[in-house]
Amino acid sequence: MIDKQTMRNLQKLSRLKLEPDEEQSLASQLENILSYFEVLGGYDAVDTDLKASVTPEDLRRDDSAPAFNREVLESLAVEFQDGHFVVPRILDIDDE
Amino acid sequence: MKYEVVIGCEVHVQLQTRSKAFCRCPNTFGGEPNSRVCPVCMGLPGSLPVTNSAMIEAAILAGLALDCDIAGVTKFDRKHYVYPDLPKGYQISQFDMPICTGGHIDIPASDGSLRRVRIIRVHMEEDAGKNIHPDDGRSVSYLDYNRCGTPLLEIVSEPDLRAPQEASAYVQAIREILRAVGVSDCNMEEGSLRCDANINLWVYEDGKKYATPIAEIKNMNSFRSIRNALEYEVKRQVREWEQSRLLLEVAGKTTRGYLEAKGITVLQRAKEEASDYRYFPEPDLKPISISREMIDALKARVGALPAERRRRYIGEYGITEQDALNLTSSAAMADFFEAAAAGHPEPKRISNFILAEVKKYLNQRSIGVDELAVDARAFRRLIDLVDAGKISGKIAKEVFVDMADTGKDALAIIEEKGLIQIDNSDAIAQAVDEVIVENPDSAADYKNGKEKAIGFLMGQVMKKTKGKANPAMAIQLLRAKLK
Ligand SMILES: [Zn+2]
Repeated sequence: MIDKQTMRNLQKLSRLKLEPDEEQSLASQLENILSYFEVLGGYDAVDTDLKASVTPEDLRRDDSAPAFNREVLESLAVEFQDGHFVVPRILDIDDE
Repeated sequence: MKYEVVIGCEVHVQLQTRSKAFCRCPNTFGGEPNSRVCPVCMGLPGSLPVTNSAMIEAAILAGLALDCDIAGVTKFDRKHYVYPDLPKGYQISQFDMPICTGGHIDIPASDGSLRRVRIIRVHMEEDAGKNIHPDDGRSVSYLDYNRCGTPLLEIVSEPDLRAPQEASAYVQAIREILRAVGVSDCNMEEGSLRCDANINLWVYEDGKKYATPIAEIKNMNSFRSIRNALEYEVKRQVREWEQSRLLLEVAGKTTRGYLEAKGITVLQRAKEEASDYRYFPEPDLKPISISREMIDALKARVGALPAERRRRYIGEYGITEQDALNLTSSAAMADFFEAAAAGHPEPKRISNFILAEVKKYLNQRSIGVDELAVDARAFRRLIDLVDAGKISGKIAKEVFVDMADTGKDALAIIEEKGLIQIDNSDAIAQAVDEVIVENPDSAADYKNGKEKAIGFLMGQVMKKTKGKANPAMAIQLLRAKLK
């Protein structure tokens, strides 16, 4: 059940702002989607955790490799200054 | 107002591996910004993480040293949040199958007894990048991803701590233990050890217990600031309770930052309503199974675990249980004791000196024994000087502080300051004579059978010789002269 509080939380988490009528139609759509997933409940979960696991010996050895060079990074960035990526000033979520 | 302080800690520790957690970028400190990044730790599309085996080993070593159970199977999960220092939009962390659970460490409690602090879990995760807010008039932030993807351990305790001083002692103990097993340098200044604390009060009124709202305190960058921030927070919560009687059930949990320069905590975030990390299993990484053999092999590397050491101290050295607990409160302390006591006929005397004088010195300065300017061998040379009758036990205490302050050797200090014990019976006899002449009443008391008076006279002899008289010789001479 998608109640009003859940909708408000979801909007905050997804950075969306909905009009009241949109809110209502999206809530019912969401509920449809969620009920569709309930189909999966009809099947037994397959216990694959252990079988699919690896041992630490299979993992990567701890040695380091050269990283990206600076030119590549600069070409990826919208703005790059003094070795840093430049982004709009970061504010805490609650400061928005 | 009767209340109890309740504190639990979340400690983050950077693991000392050569490469990052899920890519081969070097895991080092400092250097040029963005000089250690690659498509994996930058979260570029199409890149895939590959787990560093050294991170798993380090986590198991840490877990064993903290008396935890090591999971047979462990897995990684994605923790989602949106922040520019996290380019993937999620952090690879562990949710419901952490690598270690259920450990504990013992620390000195504020009332002088020993406090057992239970550890709920230890899990692995990757660190985020660093953001800098330049003061250049522009509304921008700078990002450095060198730290992004470096391996961390998060160690979560039960709220078992009962005083700010205990929280500081707890973090110091964690630091000593993890340094001893070599998984991290735990340097608070460089941020390789970070601590957040959850703190509230249990207020007792009219036979009832009330819990005040929990505050999570962040930004404590030294042992001193842990103590100061939490002491401030206790006062603030007492005040808040008296003014508003706000309860935990109503107000929940808030986040507060410590401002070191002002010595206060300020509200950062009120009660979280919409926080949802949307944890789910990391589909790019398979679960990891850890064999019994691997755990046993790493156990051998951790060395003597505290419980085994305690049994040995009690059984072989004749040390009390309480003292054994204190000596093994950190691996570094136990190492120091064992190295200093090696081959000594009375390890208990060494233990007494360490638990009284050495601990006092460390506590006053909030440092660990491994930061002491006196190593175990230099310390043993001091004890040997006492054993040889060169200095008294009392003088040894002063010499120890001098050694720790200056890093000088015991012998150099006692020679420099002329502290060598007077073994010359003529010199002691002279002092004894003077004392008897100057204190005729006490001398008469003793002669009349008041045995106690000898203690006072003895004290005067030690005072006259500035504590340097050989006590056995002095008391013998006193008794002889007063016969
Ligand atoms: Zn990388």
